[in-house]
Amino acid sequence: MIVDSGDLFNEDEEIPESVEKSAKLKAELFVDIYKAIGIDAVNVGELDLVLGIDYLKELSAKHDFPLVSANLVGADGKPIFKPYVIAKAGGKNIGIMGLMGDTSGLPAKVGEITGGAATVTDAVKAAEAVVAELTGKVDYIIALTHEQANRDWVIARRVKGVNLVVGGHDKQRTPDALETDTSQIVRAGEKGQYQGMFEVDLDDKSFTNELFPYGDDVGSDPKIKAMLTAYNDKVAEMYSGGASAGVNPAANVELRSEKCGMCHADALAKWKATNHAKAYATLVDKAKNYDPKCLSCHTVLFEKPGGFNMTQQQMELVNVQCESCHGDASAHLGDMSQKPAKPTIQTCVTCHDTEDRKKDAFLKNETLAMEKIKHTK
Amino acid sequence: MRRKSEILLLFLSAAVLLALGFTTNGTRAADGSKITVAYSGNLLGYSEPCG
Repeated sequence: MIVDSGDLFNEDEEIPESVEKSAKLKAELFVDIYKAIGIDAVNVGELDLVLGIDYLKELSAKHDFPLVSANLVGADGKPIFKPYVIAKAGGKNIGIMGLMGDTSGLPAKVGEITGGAATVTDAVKAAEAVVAELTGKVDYIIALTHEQANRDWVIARRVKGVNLVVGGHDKQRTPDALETDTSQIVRAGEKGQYQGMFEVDLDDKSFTNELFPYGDDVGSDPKIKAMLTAYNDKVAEMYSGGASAGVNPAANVELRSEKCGMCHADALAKWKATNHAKAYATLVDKAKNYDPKCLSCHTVLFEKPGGFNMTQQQMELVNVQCESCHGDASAHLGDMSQKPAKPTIQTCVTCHDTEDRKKDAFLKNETLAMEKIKHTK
Repeated sequence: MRRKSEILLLFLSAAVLLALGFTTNGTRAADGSKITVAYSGNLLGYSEPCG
């Protein structure tokens, strides 16, 4: 079985207009890849809904993509997506339902994102209704949840008949499965740093759980790699005006940081020696220099006022420059008494936001982290 | 930027699943009464490392 607990397609609560078309292209990429690896069910997360209910329904119907949610309902009170699917594994029937969290502000968030078109109903009641419907038809029931971790315990304990809860939304991960008397709870973390693998014996109920980290020692699958390459080419075509991804259009362009360097020459020289000054080139090397998901951290003030914009592709605003950390310096350039913001470690972790991107190390040793980029006297 | 796998490589996902005995249509050969659930979540639109 292959399942996903939601927030697959998108990270942000709003998608800038200029990014929308590539966000949908990315969603189709995910659908194609998941279909290729044999996905059985994907729960709907609130951030997936940012793409639009109609779009998700169309995507699901067009590609026979198994989006599930038992308690996301429309104005008519009926589920918007399939509440569950029944999949086959090793000759067994496995019921897989989707659940959206009904606490911690998620219902309000769903209402806000969908403009009131979707409502979240009681997750326990919805799960119980699905279990009642599946009883006698399946050998095992999985609930894909999208909620705070503590609420997973409520589903696992209170909904008799649910055998496994695969949690999402909450970004915790579970190297060891959590256990109730009759069920287990697992979570894979975020941003796909780990692939979870849970194995259970349906006879004696024994189980194992393991999280596999993705690293350079794992090879690539040619079929999926070809899909990613095709996506990179298409997104480049959308925004480049014909140039290929992998060709550096920023070469020989005077960066905006040069303006800062007119007064802060030492700081500019120090910055030029950092990886921040090469951040765009690394995208070019991997033909990812038109991917909004990458550009959001490899350009200045991505899709913010005065910042890099997908439509305009301002090459003077590529790399992690002065204003990436200090904020828009337009006012400072006109009036030197208006000082730009002084970044904190929280500024760093907006992009260094995963374990492998040093988030934990930075937060544990803020002094060392700030020392690495120090460029003032 | 450090060239290291920072985020999910979906094409690696396929490689991992294949290595662990999944066929390309997503199910694993039955081992008696055992089933295996491969799971992810919160991918948030990340498909491969940026750089």
